[in-house]
Amino acid sequence: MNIMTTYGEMDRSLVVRDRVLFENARERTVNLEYRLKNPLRMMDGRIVSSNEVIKRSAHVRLKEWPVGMDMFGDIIAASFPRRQRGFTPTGTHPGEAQKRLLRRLGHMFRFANTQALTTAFKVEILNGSHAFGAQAANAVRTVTTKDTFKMALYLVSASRGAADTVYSTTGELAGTGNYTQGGTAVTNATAPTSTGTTSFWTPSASVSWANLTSSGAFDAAVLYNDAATSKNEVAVFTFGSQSITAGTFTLTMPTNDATTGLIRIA
Amino acid sequence: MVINTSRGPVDDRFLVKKEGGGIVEYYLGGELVHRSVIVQLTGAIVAVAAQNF
Repeated sequence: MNIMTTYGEMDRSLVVRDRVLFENARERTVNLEYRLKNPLRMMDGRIVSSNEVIKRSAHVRLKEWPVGMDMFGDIIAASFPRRQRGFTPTGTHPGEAQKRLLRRLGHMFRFANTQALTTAFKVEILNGSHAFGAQAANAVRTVTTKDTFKMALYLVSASRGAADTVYSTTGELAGTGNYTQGGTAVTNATAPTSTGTTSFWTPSASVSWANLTSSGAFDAAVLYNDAATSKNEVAVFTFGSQSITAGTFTLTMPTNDATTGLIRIA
Repeated sequence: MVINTSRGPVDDRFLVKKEGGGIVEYYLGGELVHRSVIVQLTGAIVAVAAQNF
């Protein structure tokens, strides 16, 4: 039997198959990865290593609705006869009508990370919950030291965004390949300041992970207050999907001014 | 120069380097063994509106 690979069709007897499981609160994904049993010289002279993945298929089982889709799920489920329900990610197989609806809705709702300052952070600014810089003691506040902040990396399958409230390991890179869950500390040597009517703050150095092999493709970094008991989340920053192999991943910061600073209040 | 790879440290004379757009990749016998990336973050803004009396 032949299977399709990145090098065209190959006889199944030439390859071995590995089963790689990824599971978190939102999904259970089984990747089937195929590699050659032995290195193979191609017609053009290239040698394909037996370590190279030449085919990967993914079987994803959603455990909960994507953000924003849950209310639609309730409405749609209610519109079907009771015996045809099971219109949930963990329910029984949907019928044909449900499948058609799911396919249509699938174009509207996907797991995705979205760049945003969290809404909770906007409230916490008013409550004085975060100190990005040291401040002089006054009659109301006695905290004169700044908080410590961290950045953590999230898989493309995660759903980080404005609705977040605190740091979470859900959707974070696994603690493998030299990545430690919780992320890495942000260098904060420059206190918030302002120009005109806009205040701004930016970490004073790049954030990087050395000798990293990411557990999957990722496209978001979450900034959170590591000094806060609940690890209150400040913001989600997104970028193009990345995958790192035994390398260094570096997030460089924008220019710290009123136009491009990482966090601005205008 | 020695490069950290998925096969352990390897002298870069044995590797093929591809570079561009903030990405550095090293290949050993056609296999990707090292990938480093630099990404520039863009900022986020809180727009404040004060209510007029």
